[in-house]
Amino acid sequence: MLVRIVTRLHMMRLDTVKKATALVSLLILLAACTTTRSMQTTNDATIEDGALTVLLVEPDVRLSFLKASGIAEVRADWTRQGSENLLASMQDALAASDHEIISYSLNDAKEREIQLVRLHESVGETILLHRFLGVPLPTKENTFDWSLGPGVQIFSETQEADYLLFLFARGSYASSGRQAMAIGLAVAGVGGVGTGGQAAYASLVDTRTGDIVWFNVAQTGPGTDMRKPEGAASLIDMIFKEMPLLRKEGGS
Amino acid sequence: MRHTLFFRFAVTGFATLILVACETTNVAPIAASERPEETTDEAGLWLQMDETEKLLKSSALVENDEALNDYVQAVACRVVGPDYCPDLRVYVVKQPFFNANMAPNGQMQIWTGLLLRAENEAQLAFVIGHEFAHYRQRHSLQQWREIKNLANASLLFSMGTAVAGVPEAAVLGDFSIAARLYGFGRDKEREADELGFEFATQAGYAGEEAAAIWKYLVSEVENSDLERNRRAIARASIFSTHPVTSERIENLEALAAEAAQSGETAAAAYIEATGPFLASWLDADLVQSDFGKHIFLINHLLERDARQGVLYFRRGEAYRLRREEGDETRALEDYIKASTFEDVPPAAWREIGELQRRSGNQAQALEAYRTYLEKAPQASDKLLIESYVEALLQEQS
Repeated sequence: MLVRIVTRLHMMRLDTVKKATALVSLLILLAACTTTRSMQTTNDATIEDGALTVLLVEPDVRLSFLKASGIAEVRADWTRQGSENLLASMQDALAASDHEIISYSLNDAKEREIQLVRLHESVGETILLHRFLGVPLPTKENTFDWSLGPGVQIFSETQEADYLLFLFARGSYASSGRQAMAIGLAVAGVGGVGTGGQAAYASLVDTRTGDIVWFNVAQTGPGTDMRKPEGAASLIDMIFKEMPLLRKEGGS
Repeated sequence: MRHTLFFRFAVTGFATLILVACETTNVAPIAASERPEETTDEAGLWLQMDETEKLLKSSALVENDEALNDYVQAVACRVVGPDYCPDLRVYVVKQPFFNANMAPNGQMQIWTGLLLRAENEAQLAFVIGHEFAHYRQRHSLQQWREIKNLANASLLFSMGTAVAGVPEAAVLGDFSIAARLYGFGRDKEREADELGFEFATQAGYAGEEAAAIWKYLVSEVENSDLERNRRAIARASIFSTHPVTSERIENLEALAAEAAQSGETAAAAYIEATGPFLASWLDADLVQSDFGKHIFLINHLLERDARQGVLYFRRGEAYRLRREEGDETRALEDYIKASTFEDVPPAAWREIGELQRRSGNQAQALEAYRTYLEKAPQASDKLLIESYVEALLQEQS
């Protein structure tokens, strides 16, 4: 009774970790057979000319230590480093544009903001599954009209902006035991022992409608590392490659 | 077997690597206002619980009533003392089950089903003491490390059987490891019971109340409509995460006998603080449709609680919805009994009207409906009841 919950909390934790691990593995799998394409909305939402205001929403990052047994353990310090590096890389990448870029820290007292970040996670997962991972939805064959809904206007209460930029990133880094086991078992003919990896997706969202006007996903193997500034920068470069805000600038 | 010597050698090598990684579960209690170092596994647990707490805070399941929250937090602070008090955040969660829990970051949940069943402040204090002990002893961290170590052991076992070529044994491996994990849970519960007892009695609460709440729970579950529930209390499974309840009661009774000093139950303060919620908590409990348990609970509350109008009304509701032979009469009796107390909910009059009308007692029905309309002039079903009154008047004339 009193007790059961303690266990349940652990289960919950395991579930989240499992989900994150599954997502990372999925993304790595994806990289092996498809090339990632960035998606643009088919809704009537042409990105305006001229200087725009873009809110960089505090990225949703979770980095874990992948143990020999396959258990992933969240690391608070890596998560903070990764988050800081990604935010700095996003700022750098957008600094060259004419747009006004504002970093936005979530207000914990505003539950709706926290929920919208979670919503972005869910919608992003759904997009991945149905657009990138080979489970197409018949009703969305020729459309890309995903949206977070007009609830995103809540951000305007604190800071006026034309667009919101969300980033979701997960990564796991294998312990030396895990790496040794993967190599050893591979030599012995047993494959499929993951050694971690990193994945992230980003959405550019219209502040008035909540429509996702642009979406992209990228993953990297264990080689690059978002815990380091260069690793974060290369991940962001990959994701932002075809971002409309950046392309537009070159065209005008 | 088909496996080469190299394969066996390799597996042994990895096994050694994994064993080296075994982490200690022997951790010192957390100090007041202590926070984990950012580079530790503990900080990772806190980070995740902080995230879930952000969502919990805004959840519709959390009771926001200020007076009740202040009361529960004050009891918590009395139990854990002024040093640890700022480290704990107690949330009252609207769930009709007897439960409470503690997250490693200081987030404590007390479910309303528990508040409904605790008889006095001392019983609540023991629950809080128990949960606080989980926090102070860092049980979540210990358990997380046990999970990690056992996952390593599980891997070793599967690797071992893979080498030996007995694939079925892998199933056994998982089973024994699961049992061990649950077993660790039981030890921690025992420790939490003992420490919780210490904290609550040191705060001046009556020691015998610790066992009393469990004794009550056993008797309530014995009256459950569901055989599954009734069986569960007696069952001593290797998977039971808490010490079997009888063992737990014995331990707590022995502690109370040893302690010998007398403390307070603070029953009056408890009933005053929880009183405004009695009706809605009982309503939520009835949703489970376990009438045996529910009626037993109300009878138990009737013995000690001054809120007789509410309680008789709620028992009437239980009989009305159970609809067994004779329940209609029982329900009517309870509604009428409820109507003799000051705190009767107006709906009792409506139900009296309904049952009297169905038994053909038009005069009594008319009177009850009129009293209902008088006592609840804003009722949402006002028009409907007025139409009944009209129909009854027409029949009479």
